[in-house]
Amino acid sequence: MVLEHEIPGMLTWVILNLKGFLAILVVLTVGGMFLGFLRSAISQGPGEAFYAVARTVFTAGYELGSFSLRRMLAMAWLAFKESWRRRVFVVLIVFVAILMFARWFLDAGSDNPTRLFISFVMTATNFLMLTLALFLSSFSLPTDIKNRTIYTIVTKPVRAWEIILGRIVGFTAIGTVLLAIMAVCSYVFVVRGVVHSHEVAEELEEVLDDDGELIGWQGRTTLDSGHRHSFTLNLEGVGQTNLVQGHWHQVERQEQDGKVRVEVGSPVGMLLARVPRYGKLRFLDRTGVPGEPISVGYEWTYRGYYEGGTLAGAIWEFDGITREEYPDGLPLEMAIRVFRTYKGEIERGIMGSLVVRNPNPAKRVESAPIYFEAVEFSPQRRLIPTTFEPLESDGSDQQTLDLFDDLVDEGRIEILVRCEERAQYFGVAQADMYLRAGDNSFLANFSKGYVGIWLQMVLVTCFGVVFSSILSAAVAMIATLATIVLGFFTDNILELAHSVFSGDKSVAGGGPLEAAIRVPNQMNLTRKIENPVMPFIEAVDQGIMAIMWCAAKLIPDYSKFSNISYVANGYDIPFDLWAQQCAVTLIYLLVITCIGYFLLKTREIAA
Amino acid sequence: MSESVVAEPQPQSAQGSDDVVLEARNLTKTYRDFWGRQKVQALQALDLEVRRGEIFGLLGPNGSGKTTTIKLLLGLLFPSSGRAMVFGRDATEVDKNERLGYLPEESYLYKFLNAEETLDFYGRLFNMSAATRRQRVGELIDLVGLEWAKRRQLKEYSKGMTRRIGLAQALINDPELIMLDEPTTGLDPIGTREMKDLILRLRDEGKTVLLCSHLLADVQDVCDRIAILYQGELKELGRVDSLLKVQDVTQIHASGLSEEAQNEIRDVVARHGGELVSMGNPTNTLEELFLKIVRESEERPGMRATVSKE
Repeated sequence: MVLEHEIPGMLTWVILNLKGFLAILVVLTVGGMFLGFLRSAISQGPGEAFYAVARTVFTAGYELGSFSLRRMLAMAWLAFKESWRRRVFVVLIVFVAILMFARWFLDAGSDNPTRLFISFVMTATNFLMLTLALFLSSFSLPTDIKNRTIYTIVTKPVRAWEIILGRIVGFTAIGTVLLAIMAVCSYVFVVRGVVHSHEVAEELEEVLDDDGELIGWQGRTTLDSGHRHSFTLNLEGVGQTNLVQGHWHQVERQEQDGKVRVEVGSPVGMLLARVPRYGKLRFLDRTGVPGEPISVGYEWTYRGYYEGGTLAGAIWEFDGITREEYPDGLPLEMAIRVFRTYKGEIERGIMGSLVVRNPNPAKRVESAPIYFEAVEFSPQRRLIPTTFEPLESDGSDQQTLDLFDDLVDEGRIEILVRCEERAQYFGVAQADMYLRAGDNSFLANFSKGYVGIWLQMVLVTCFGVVFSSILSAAVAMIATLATIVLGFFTDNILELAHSVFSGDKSVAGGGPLEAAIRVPNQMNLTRKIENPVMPFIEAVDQGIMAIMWCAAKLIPDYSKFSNISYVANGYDIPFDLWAQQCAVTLIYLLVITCIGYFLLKTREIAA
Repeated sequence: MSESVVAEPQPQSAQGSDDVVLEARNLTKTYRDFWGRQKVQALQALDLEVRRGEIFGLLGPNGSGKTTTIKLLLGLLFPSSGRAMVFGRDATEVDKNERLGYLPEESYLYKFLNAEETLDFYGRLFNMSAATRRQRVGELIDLVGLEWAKRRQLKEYSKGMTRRIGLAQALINDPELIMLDEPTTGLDPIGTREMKDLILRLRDEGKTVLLCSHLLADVQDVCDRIAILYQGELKELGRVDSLLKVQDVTQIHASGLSEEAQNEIRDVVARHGGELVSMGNPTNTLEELFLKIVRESEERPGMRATVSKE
């Protein structure tokens, strides 16, 4: 699976982001106080305004001190009850309807049906939940204010903290109930969708060795769920099918009372949560010295390509390798992309080799190459054995190499992958090879994936509630929607902003205003616009992008909360990622609640 | 937070103002539009004091600033200038709400809750324990006579029933100060009488009541003191009995007197004797006073009415 950004460890992540976070916090605090001061100064003069700001801050602290869980939960209960009365469960009906019709369109015979099913249900759930959170949260407070039911609330000793947080908690609670039901439905849908069984299609064929001795059987399964397997059985009548769509079945032949029965088991390897252990990737250029990979012309530079039949290669260095952890050898999985400069034999993969090396240059020991045929798109398993035969060309005094004694240096090991065919290219990224340390429970991973959706829902709810504390319902909804849209395209906006500021045109087409000129004139993206007002347009674009940059920095990057690709591709969601997502949500919850408090507190409810 | 329903009266630094529960000082409210242009002068330099244990009535025609005053005193609006103080503290402070009950103009309640749930919910906003809430909710439902309908959603309630449940929620914390905005609208004559009796009973329990209304008969019946507002200005302030007394007229009621005796009465009265059944000043109805003030204000805008004061 594609892992464009390395996930830093939790501690590294905190250190990395702490400075930026504190800077934003200071800017928000100072900016907020200044705005409050300004507003108050216009109506009451600077002296009084200073006093008002000080009093508001002081009151906020005091009211936080007298926070009551019971009052907050009362507000949450109200929000829950109100949402329920608004018939939120209609969302569930919609969801079930989607699932019912989805089976018509989801092709169980596709390359990877598990991925298809999981990414479909999770994406559907995600969008439904975000839409629901958007509507619930942005309509509630304005309705209260419009109906003036808020009058009977704010004339009770309930603090603005409790109102804001209570709303968030209440909507989160109802969202959680709905999401949990959706998750269960999704799980059933996925399992029912991908789990299948086969029968044996025809009579088993006997497999004989050169001497005509029976050594086993072979056969084919029936075509079910859009695919079939072939299998071979040993003399005991036990065997496995081949790997199709990423899974295989256990096959058993039993003879009872002269009758032969062959049973095909349930699929293995469909619903996975692999725990990968990634190494560090570096490249060797065609002369065998460390260098950069070459571009084969793809715009997406995620994978680096290197040439076959040369000394070029890709080296992964893994650390923390011990005999205790991997007593049977290293369980390697890799998916290597191929770029063919000529067609060759298209049915056969491109040959590559894999060499295990000791990373310590003083003990330059390496194993004999292990040859393999590159399989794209689905990870290929390969167990690196614990012992290697010595290299024949390396003199006669060589002994059998032991993986842990000879090739591991202080827990580190290197694996060099070369492409063995001339003028063909291998393309790899760091996440394309890993040690599969073990598997976690798929169900647990599936749940973790839904927690990602849940966190997004909480964030949307936070924004909705806070916007609705000062804006009318429709405006609050649009504002919240804007944060969602912006949040899903954070990276693109930051990239564009960088391009517009630096003028390096790394994003072709320029800022919004420039694009607005190019589009109706049907100009291509890179042609220079010859126009005397161009500096003005660029200045305006810089202004717009400055605002967009600020917004993108302040708004959560929703794309970082999507764990769908992990679950769908069968990888365990790393704990660090998960912890970071939770931490980000918590921080947003706290900061946004603060903002909401001040907005609600300084608002004239009855105006 | 303490579990107690009624907060203890807080010690105050100025002993003299101890029994002033509500205070408006030069209270002014101007509604402005988005650009800061003045739209309406809703309240102009109001000075007002409501003391502990009295029933104070705010009177005025529609749009005179009664509700604005109440909202300012509740902190629902912020004054443009001047101060609104409740229990000697700024009206925007949340703490004051512990000792305060408010019945809004219309009972703005959550229609999807039933009576019990409503009162229980508001009880929780006062941080009451479950046991206290149960007890209090039962008492109040009895008090407002809604025992028979307590499980019904408020959206099924009639106007009068909604009013009653609104009153019950205002009393949930056994408040020291109760603000009632048009308490009798929507109530039938019996309901109105009950409401008035309840207000008087609350006063007898030592509570302070601020009510605003344009139903003059109600105000005349229950209020100790009144303020009359007209177009955001205070026109009259004083005790109801003294405001309505006609000072220079004496009224005598007598019975069983012959013609001569009646003639003689004049002499007797002239010599300050005789058997008088009743003697006093005839009173205006509040309606007469009210209309007079409104007429005078229209004739001479900006002036305080010249009716006799306390």
